[in-house]
Amino acid sequence: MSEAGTNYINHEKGLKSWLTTVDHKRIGLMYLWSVIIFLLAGGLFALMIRFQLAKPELDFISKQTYNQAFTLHGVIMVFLFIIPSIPAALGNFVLPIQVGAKDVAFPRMNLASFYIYVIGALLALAAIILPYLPSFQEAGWKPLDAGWTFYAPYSKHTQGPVIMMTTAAFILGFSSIFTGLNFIVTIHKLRVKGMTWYKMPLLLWSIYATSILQVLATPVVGITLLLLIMERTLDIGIFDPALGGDPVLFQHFFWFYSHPAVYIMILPGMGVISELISTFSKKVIFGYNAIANSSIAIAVISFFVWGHHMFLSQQTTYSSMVFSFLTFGVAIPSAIKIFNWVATLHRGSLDFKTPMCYALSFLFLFTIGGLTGLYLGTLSTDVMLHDTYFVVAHFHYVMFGGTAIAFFGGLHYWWPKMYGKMYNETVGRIACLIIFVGFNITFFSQFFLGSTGFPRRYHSYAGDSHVAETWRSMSGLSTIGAVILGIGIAIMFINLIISLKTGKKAPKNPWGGTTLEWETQSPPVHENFEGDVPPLEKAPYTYS
Amino acid sequence: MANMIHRLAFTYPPDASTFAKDTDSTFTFITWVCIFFFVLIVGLMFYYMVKYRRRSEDEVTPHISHNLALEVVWSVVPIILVIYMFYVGYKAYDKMMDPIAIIEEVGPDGKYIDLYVNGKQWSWDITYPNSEVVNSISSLRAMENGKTGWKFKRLKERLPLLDLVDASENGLNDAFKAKVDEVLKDKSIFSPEGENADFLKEDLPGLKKDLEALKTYSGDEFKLEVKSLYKKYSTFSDYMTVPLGIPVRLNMTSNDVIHSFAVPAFRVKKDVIMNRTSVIWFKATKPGLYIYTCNEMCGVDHGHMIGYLRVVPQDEYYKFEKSLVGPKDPWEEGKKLYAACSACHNLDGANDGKSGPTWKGLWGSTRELSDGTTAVVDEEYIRESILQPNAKKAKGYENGVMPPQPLTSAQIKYIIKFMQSPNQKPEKK
Repeated sequence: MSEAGTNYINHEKGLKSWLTTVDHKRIGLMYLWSVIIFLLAGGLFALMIRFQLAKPELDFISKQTYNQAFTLHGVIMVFLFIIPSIPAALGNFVLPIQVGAKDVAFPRMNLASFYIYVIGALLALAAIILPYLPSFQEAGWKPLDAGWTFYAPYSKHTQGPVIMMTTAAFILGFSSIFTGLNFIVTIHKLRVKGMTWYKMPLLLWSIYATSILQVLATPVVGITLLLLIMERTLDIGIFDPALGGDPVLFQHFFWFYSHPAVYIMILPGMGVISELISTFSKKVIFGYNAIANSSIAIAVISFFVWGHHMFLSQQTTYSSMVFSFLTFGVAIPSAIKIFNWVATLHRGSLDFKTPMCYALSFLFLFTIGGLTGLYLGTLSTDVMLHDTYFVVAHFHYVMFGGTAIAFFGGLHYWWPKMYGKMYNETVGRIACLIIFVGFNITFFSQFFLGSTGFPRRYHSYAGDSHVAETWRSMSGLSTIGAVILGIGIAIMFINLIISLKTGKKAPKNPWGGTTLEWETQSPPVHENFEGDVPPLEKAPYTYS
Repeated sequence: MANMIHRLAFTYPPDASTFAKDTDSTFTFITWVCIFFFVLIVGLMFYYMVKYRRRSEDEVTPHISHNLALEVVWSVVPIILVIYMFYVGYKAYDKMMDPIAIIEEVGPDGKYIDLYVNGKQWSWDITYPNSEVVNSISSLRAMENGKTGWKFKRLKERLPLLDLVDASENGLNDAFKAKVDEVLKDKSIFSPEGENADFLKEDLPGLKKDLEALKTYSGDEFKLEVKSLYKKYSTFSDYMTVPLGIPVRLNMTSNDVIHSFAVPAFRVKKDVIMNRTSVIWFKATKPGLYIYTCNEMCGVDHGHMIGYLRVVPQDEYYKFEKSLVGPKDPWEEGKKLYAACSACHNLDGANDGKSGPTWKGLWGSTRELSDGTTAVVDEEYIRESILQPNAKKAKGYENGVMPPQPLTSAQIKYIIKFMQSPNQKPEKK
């Protein structure tokens, strides 16, 4: 039993108490602020890219800098923001409370995961910053420009610090594996009495599916990056055709991880949305079993679709056929989830609090993201759209419109629980609206760029060709959208940060949630619950 | 409004190949499916947002956990739709990616054209079959920079130089001289006005001089000189040029890193990879100027690997091919290249202990391979044996001592020309 007024934040004080904590909530917060910093850093690179492409033939940044900007944007957003965002930051905070446990199964391993993340992130930062320092430039260092995909043999020959960055990604992989392993065991062993598998909150299902992917798929990219490092240092001749290696093999290895990784990124977002939609509709989630099972189905099928990134890489027509077919197979469970969410709204009691605004944005954006995937799964239209801005628009609708929006929604949902403070609702909603509008302007325009053939990763484009009119107008529009988007995100974070100082005190259950984290005080006490958690009687989302 | 939506949702690049129609109809089908589901999902969402907005804090909602019939419908309908998409997509893709399928589009004249394309950082080399010339096509950006700017080149398209090349076939006669005089007197060329006229003027004294100098040459030298002049001043050698209505197959390979060759107006694209030949084909259906792009990040100037592809009527295409200035004789070029090969391969079939098979009688023969199968020595076999010597080892040469030879497509063609008749130069047709 703890004294009145104490919680996990004031339970112990001082920097050391944070750095050595094994409390999942504190680790969650440290993850949270790390990923937010990287989101903003990645966003700055995104703005650089958009400014350079605002008009034809600009020289806002040089072509070298442009290539570095999109590489760093990709690396930072994928490895340092999206992958850890929901599972490691929000998940760490919420998951143990939702199962009714005092902590994760292996608290020290959890802290280790965070420190591994920090080491990986610092190494990545070094790889980003060092090449710009004069003394390193004199020593012949060049910034990284191989793209976040590190395709061989370009990644072998380019002079950037590929080894350093891939080592960073290799290390970050362990952080991901540690977290995944921890969550799997926590969900298996620490659920409160009475919480059977099909009485788990849906966030747990999706994080469970994610964790399995993390544990099984991440080693593959680790080995791939290690082989790339060996190729660069020892010339082992596995990817470099000049040595008899096969550059396409790299792509197979890379996507064998990175396609499941796409679901590592989106599944937790889907879990968050299930929570939000049910809570703010004050209604039981429609098709609980279908949503839970489709998470597992997505996780399983996602291992067998990596070849759809390689329809034009000279893989055989036969394998393209199989990969195309399986890709449509993974589309179905995602579609089912969307239908279930919309059906949950039916006859609900919809309360448009900020998290709900993000959840509804998610429905809108993720629907577009999912549907535009159909063009890319279909072989003939993929030939037309492969490696154009259509693909860029598609995966931003999924990764940003899906995962990042779900992350923002979850952040607003659990913020009162994390800090015990309520933010300003009106400002929160306005920020959500600005983000929604900015996002659509930024990325919907890119579908038209892509369908007229604008290739990815071009640092500029001619103002004088037969497609110039579309390219000029859509690219300019996209840049305007990016600025709006940036403003929206800034307002959102400022609103949250201000609430820490001036926000009203949050009640135990400000939203009427039905899962266990709303049973404890805000912010929770040191070991989550006052005393023992009684056995679970009602399934989650039971309102009537 | 409807018109605007239609224009935006169905914006395609120009459709200039036989594939375009097929791909676009699939694209349109998917777009309709998307619009249907988007309107359904988001429409319902907005409808519910209004209808079921919370009116009081103590509202009670019904407990609807699931509805099997509904769930079956919304699983099965998408399944049927995606299976259809999968099928039409696969069918078109199969045809596009199959190098043999080109036969289906060959007309009664039996003509098709094999172009050899070499990607390199950061331009493309095209080898045309009849001229045996490696034509390095410029990027749009290179065309746009400074004096050799793209707009400037567009102006120069007006120069009737291709006609001169055509007229030079009959030697330096009076008709030709008259044509030259005609060009020299053309005010629209030599006193240009309007935007970029300054660029043009700067370059024209050279053209004038070169035109006048033509008269001092004679015979073959004269013809060659006209072609050189054409290459120097024409825009067209900077464009990739393909004929209208004849199927064209691109045999592509890369010198350095992975590139990807795309022509949006043809709806074709394929990665271009070292040590491999990737093949795409198309049949152009509309004359015009289209862009081609590189779609795989290939280094600093990746964004510069964009340029123009020109579709021209067949007779103009053949004229263009002839106008390219190439090596005087592919066979002689092949002989020069053979010098390096001669360390291991002889031409007379003598048993002189050389480590590689002789080239005597090699071309067209059927070889026994070390794995017990046989292979006909044709272009593909030779190409592979040069680029990847150990892919198919001939019987008796299992050691595989030959290193891969990084030759360009054109060089391989010269070698093949030589190999076809190694001991005697073939007579000109």
